[in-house]
Amino acid sequence: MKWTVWIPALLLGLVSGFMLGALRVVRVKPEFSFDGLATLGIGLLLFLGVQLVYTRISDDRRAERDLLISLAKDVVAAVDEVDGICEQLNPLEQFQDGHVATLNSALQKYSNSLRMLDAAVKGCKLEGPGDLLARCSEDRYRYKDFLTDSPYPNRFAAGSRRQQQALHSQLKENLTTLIFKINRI
Amino acid sequence: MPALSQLLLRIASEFSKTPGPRTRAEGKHSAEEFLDTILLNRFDQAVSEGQSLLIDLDGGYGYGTSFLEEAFGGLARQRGVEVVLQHLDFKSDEEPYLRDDVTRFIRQAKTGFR
Repeated sequence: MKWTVWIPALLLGLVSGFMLGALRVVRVKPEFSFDGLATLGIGLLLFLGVQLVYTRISDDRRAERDLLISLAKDVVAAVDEVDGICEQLNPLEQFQDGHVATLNSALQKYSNSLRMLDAAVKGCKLEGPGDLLARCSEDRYRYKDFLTDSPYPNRFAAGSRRQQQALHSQLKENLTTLIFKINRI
Repeated sequence: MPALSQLLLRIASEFSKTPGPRTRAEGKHSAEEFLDTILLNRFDQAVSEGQSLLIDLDGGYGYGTSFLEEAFGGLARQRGVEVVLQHLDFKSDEEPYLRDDVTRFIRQAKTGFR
């Protein structure tokens, strides 16, 4: 429960107040003053208000960051799925319709997951990941271009597996950097 | 400039749900076949009627880069990049990035793909 965080804060405030009052340079009058109480009350309310707003903003930011990281991980998973399918298809000399449909479906899933992440970053109005996201978008284009250019959809070009893997590694590297960037916001 | 009224071309229902390779020599449902038999005629019709041609990319099994580049990049090479950009539009609810990809192929048509 969120209200429990206020208990240690209140205890800390009381202890700090007593310790401050115990200092020699601080003279505490043994009098009861309504003015002092009112000032204390107002100060306390202000403090609580600021703390509430800060906690709310910080919770919202944390939730957004967690969502963005989750979406970025979805993109990584989608990219890995594409590479897994490429691994299976590379040895084939002729693709069947089912092979092509499977790869296209995986590429679509990858494209759409990246689009979702892009929309979420724009929705959160975060400026930090913008350049990295643009790089990931270019990666997507380059990767799909390489995989689905001729002789696709008949087969992959002979010997293209190493370059597929290199592109895949580059994608994941940029996505991982993006996740770190989001985490530090 | 006011928006042009639109003709619609649904690739999945009017050509193939499984668009194929770049050229006829490479296999069936090629981009070359699509361009020669459907796209050029429909595009010219749209231009002559003062309309734009809306290409619906949904409903199929997906598109390879070679198909899209040969079809739409090829259209731009034959009819001109600016004319094509002015009279062509794309719709894809299934894969929104497709629209950007195809537009890129059209813009790169004269300077050469890759």
